Amino acid sequence: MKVINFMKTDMICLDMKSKDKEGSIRELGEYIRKTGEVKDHDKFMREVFEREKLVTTGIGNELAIPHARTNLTDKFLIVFGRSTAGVDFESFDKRPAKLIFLMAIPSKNIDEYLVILAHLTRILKNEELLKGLYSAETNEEAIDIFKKAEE
Amino acid sequence: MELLIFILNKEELLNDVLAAFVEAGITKGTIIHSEGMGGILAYDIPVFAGLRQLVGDSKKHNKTILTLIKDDSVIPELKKILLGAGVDLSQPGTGVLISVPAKDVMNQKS
Repeated sequence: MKVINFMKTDMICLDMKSKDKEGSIRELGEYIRKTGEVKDHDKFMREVFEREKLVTTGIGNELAIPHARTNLTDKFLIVFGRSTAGVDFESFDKRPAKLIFLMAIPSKNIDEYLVILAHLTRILKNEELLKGLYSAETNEEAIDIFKKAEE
Repeated sequence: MELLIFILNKEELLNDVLAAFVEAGITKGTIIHSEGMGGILAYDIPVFAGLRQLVGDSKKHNKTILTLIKDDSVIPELKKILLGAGVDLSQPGTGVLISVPAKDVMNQKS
């Protein structure tokens, strides 16, 4: 499964404004709200925060993957956000998260959930991809960088 | 020669399982303290912590029994004895029994 198949130019925010974890999740959550694909957005947000309570999704190296397995949508949705200043995501390495991926993952398929998370965490170890995402000037450019990394 | 692999999730049934093995004529084997992949994903790899809702409040351990058998003719009898001892592998979460051909076996008898 390639993440690029689900990324859209209107689901990218290269200049996030939020300064904290909750705000950044809510800021990216607005992109998901606008898709109209999630039945109850407030409930979905609560599910994301509940997941965050288990263990932070700040995986270190300035990356965070807040997400929720949910019955509120049948579609896998992903929003990519970039914060120049960084957001404290309580990451294990204490570094602020600058590249944040918010995902809604349909709960009907547990295998898909695992595959997506494993794939994303693996490709985000690609230094070229990270450099590209830090320097992308447009949403289209960010998409192209992702596409190249997953080829 | 066959390799019999028995992954027992209900560890409390280990004594019954081993007794069934012996009764079926399988008197040698190795028992490994093991754990399911889901538990490790959920509790040791933070990004998969969302799995905890599925795997429960704590990591679940299991026992893996490895044993060599001459051929698979013993398996129907073993299954029958296991069932009689209350080890019903058709019930969810009980375990899994696998037999695979052991092509090369090197030990003191070989």
